[in-house]
Amino acid sequence: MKRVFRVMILTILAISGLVGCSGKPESDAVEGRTVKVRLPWQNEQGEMKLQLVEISGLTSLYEMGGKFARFFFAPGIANGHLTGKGPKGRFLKITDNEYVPQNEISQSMASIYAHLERLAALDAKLGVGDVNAWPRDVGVNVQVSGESFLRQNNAFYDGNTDAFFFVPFKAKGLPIAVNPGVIAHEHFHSLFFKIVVKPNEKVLGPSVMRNGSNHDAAEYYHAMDLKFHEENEATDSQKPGTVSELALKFYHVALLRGLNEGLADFWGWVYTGDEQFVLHSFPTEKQRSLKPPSQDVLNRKTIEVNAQSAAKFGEYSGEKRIRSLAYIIGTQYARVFKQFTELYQKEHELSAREAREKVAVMILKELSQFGQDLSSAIANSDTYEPTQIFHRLVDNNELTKTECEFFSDVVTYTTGTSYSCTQQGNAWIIKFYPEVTTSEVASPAEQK
Amino acid sequence: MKFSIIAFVLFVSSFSFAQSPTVVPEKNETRTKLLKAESPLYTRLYLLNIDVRYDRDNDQQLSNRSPFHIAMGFKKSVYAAVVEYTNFSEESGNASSSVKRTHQEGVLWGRWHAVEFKGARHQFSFYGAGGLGLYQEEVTTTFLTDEVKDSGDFKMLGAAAIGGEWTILFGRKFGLVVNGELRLLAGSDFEPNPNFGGLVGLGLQF
Repeated sequence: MKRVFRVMILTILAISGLVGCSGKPESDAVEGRTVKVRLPWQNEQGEMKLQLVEISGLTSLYEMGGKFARFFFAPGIANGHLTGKGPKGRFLKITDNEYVPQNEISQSMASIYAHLERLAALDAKLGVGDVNAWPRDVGVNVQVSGESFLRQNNAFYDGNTDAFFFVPFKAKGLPIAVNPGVIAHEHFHSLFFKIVVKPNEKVLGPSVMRNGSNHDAAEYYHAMDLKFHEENEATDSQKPGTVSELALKFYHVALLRGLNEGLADFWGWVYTGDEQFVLHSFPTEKQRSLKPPSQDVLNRKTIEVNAQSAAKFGEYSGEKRIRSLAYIIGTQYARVFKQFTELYQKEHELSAREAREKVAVMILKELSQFGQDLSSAIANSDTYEPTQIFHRLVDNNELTKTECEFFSDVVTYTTGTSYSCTQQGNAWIIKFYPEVTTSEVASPAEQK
Repeated sequence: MKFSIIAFVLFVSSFSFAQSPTVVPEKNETRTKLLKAESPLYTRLYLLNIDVRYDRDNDQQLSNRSPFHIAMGFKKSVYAAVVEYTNFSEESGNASSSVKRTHQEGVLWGRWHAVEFKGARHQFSFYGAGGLGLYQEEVTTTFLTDEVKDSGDFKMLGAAAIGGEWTILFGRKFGLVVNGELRLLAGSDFEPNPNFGGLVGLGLQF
């Protein structure tokens, strides 16, 4: 009897010991190692397949974070930063160095981390490695109220907190967190915010233009009951200023957001080489495909007409109405830049990836100038011309005649004014000029 | 794989019971016979069980896994041993990409019925229990047309429980056994570790 009792006591002590010694899972001990995690990942042929993907810089898979990202589950925001608990990653160790996510949230976090690691390397390669601070803050399973398009199936970058937000993905398509193009798209917004928006914050204003991105924070902040800006439907009629002033503001908002969205889509393609990456997650968004060729962008008149129409609804309601316009503007820019990249590849006999990266560098160099040009136009109540960025690209890069003519055609088709390229001096610096001067279309400000 | 866990716990269980007669010293043979007469060996099969296991889910909430649970055991005097097999699975994701995690475990429990109330037809007792076992996890990752199944190693788990038992006798040994217990199970991959849970079991005794 006593012997059995002793055995039981020893057993319970042994169990207690086991409980005490097994506090953290094996996936916690990955610091300083490069591990492989099974994820949906692009293979050499560009197809998404389940693969063991190398991830480095992790401090823990269990606490899920490291050199390139730190995660917050259903976060809040305080003092300009994400707050809340980090999600617990669940990973099955299958060999000494290989792990498999045991649930969707762990797979999502590992995927986002792995892509941010690659995007950090891409930033460094493209000369913008010092623009973002690492690790990046990432909110997952972000809970928002409001309209359904806010609550589910979306992701956005917020410049105020400098964080990425991923709301739950409930659609049938490829989850955003494993869609490399969408992650690169969001990552580009952080570059655009810091290169274009933030330096020109005073001119661009604290409200609708602050974040720049079309699907960025404003509405989410409202949905999260956080104060983003004071405007709402009730203030639409109380705002000072004329419709034409508001229309000019909306014109630039649409252009800024449009270019941001377009370049972000272009970035998704630069990173993946996949022209349909948006459609994988949102099959109905066929208009966002970069496959169709495009030889023009939306011209000034078209954007002005839409901006004037939106301005009649007031500042808050009108701003919501130009959202879809910005996407249309953006897709046109993205298609033009993609087409130019394909031409550039042929002209310089580069690999597809090399060409994408070379053109990405050209665009990044123009971003700062674009911010200044746009701010200058706004400050002077002038109108930024949608084709101005193409002029800058041609002026500041040594393009071949064919490449120059590509842009002169884009400007010609967009403006309705015939442009052509001319060699200047002995050097092969090619500029393009209008062949026929036509009268400028009056800006909304001039029309009053 | 399930059978290997069950085979393991049955093997360990039978081994432990094979050792039990040596507990009583030979010199006290009369007393041993008396004890044997007073405390028959009961076999129990627990076929209807409600297992409650709180484990962290994809939404980071502690949710009840409601595992499948079968068990069998033996009771002699105030001691009992129970072997149990449990499994549950969790699936998350969507039609394009999903992850299914399957957990299975086998545990050998030792129980000490510290307090017993015995009547002619009804017996009540309160017990404490400790358990040791093995668990294994499998993950099936599905992405579009790809599917990969990965299995982890067998790992040790420890467990502790307190509970109560009600036995309704229909004969000298045959009866129904109802027990309820609160339990903690610890394993290196459990989240949280230890898992907290409970069990209500309905079994046959013979």
